[in-house]
Amino acid sequence: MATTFSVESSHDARRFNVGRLLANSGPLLILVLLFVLLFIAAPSFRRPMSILLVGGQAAFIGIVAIGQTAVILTGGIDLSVEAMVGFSSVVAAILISGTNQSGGQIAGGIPSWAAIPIAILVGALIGALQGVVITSLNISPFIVTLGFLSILTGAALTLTNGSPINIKNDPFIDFLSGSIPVELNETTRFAIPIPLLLMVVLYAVMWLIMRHTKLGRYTYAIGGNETAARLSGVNVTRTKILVYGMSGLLASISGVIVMGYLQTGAYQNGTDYTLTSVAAVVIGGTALAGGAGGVWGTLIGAFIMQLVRAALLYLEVPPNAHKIVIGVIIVLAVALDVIRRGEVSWLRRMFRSHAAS
Amino acid sequence: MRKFSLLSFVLLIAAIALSSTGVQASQNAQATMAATMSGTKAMGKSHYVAFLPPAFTSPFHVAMADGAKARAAELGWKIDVQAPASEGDFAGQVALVQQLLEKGVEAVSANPIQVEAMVTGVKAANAKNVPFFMHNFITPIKEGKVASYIGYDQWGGAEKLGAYTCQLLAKKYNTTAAAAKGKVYILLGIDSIFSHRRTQGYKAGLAACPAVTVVGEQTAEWLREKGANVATAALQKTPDIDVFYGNSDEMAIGAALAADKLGLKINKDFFAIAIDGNKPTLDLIQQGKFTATLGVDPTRMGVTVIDAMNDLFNGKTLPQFLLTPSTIVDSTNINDYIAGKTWSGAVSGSAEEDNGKATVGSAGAATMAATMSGTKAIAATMAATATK
Repeated sequence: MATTFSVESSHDARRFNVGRLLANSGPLLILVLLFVLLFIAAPSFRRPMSILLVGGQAAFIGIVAIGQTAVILTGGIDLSVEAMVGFSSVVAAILISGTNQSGGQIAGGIPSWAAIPIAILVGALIGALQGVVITSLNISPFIVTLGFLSILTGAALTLTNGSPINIKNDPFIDFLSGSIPVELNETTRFAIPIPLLLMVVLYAVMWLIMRHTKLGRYTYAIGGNETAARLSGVNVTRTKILVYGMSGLLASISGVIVMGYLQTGAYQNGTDYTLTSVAAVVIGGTALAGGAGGVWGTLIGAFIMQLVRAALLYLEVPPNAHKIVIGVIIVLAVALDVIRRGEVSWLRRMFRSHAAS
Repeated sequence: MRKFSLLSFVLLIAAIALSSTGVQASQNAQATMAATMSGTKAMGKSHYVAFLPPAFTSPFHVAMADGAKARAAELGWKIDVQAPASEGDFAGQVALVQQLLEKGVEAVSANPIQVEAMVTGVKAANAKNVPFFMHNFITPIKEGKVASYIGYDQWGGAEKLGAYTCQLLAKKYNTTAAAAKGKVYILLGIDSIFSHRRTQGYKAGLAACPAVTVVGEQTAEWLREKGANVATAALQKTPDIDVFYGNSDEMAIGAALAADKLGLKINKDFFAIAIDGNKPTLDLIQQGKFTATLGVDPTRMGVTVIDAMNDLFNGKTLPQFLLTPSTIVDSTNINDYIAGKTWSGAVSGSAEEDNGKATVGSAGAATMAATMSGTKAIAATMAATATK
């Protein structure tokens, strides 16, 4: 029986101390603060529909960020997700429209309920392939997923010649990207976006995997101390392949939802998703080095990222400045992560000397 | 040294090499084969020409390239269609021009992403005595010699759509066109002469109904996804936007899809109009998901480019500015447009400058005619919606 102490020490959920509580409630505080700020500053944000919409649009990044969380927990990273989103949207669109030539909104191929699972499966397999390359050749995940970022973008470009593949929608696609209307009374009517519901369900599933299965425990163990995990009998190779496969799977799910929403599969669907998903993970409290954190933090991080984007649009910040704001937030998020873990020595010394006096 | 660091190095180089390859359209083989098969139709000698859209990310440019390729195949020419992967890569486009000149093309036509950058390409072509055409672009460049500018009057076309908007709102709110009121949201494109001319022309057309207000304008970078995002936020801020106008079809389609997802009904709660006349837009008009587009018939524009090159090779003098027609297309005249009945052919015209004023010689008569047909079209659209 493998010793379990090394697994438990990196399994942060078990330990309970004030520092960790603050660190974990930090993201939630930021989310609430942002929410209140936007509520005050933008009158149009005060309707339930607006809030639900932010949630719905957060789903595109949010679903990708689930897989990214798992990968980062193992101490790796998946830079290929934005290309996976575009690639899976292209694959699904080609299967549904029946052509790889840019043209009208048609549905001359296989039914969407068959095409979409195929595209998702292809994404999962490519993700798993990245896991195989990383583990069998012992190359850093950074390089492998960066390479696949390029490969997948190029594959999507080659398949479509750079043009969008348009599809005709049908009830299934409408459903995937649609919403459920809710009528509380005469005046209070809104609709819950299906992508939002799907995102929450997927988060719950991933949480169950991470907390209540061996795969989840091994994921944390590998991130905490890979050597110790391997010595404890954890099958590192299989865990990593599964984790990168999950990242590919989830990025593809996001890709087909984007395709359904826009009724088009294009190589550039998913631009900027990589950086934003990593930011969501880090803001949510998962350490970039792995071994600590969890999916619900990422959900908060994804909402924060989307709230920021929504705020930029509501407050009519000039579009050219959007990238500055988002970049600053990402850098701040990573800086906070590093400071929180006490890895900035001069800050640590400063606070220690203050505490002493 | 780690065992496989060499492999990771190779992988990295391969990744970089892959990412720096521009999109290559392997059309040459197809065109040559088509030419061989239709060899009997070819008149005159074969030529080798280049056609450069800004990218293939918009169905508009795909259609133009398809039109050019089909015509080139008919004439038995070899045509090279190349473009960078995104409509922002102006340096990449100039590099492609230079590569194609090295390959020995006899004529080049480009839709420049950024005209100041393209001057380099134009001068390189001038130095080799290769005629340089510009398509979808009728603004004279400051340096270098261009054989002919082929395009449509953007201000004029957008102005027609502005007048059409007045008609749409007049019918919705039961007023006259001049007294029409309502809210319009404009989706700009990447900031360029294209977005300037179209936006300014549209607003000039809207002046016919001064009570109509533009409640916002944001760039959606010619892309459907950005159009959807911008429209969603806009509708949250102003839920009663009546008209989404996009400087290009794709952005307005994104807006229409987003509004639909928010529970608004097209042609009842809101209208979506734009410029291009692309195939997906026509499909959506026929499926009842889009209101109207300014049909500039990109496929026939592409054919016009090749015909202009052919005229030049045969020694004819070309007008410096060849204006192609545009017409508002909605559910009433869509079949005529597809069949080419609204295509009145390219005519000699004058330049379009980024000067905030209407294009000189842009037929005021054409605007009136369009408004007239627009009126009939809107009445029909309203009737069709009412009977649903």
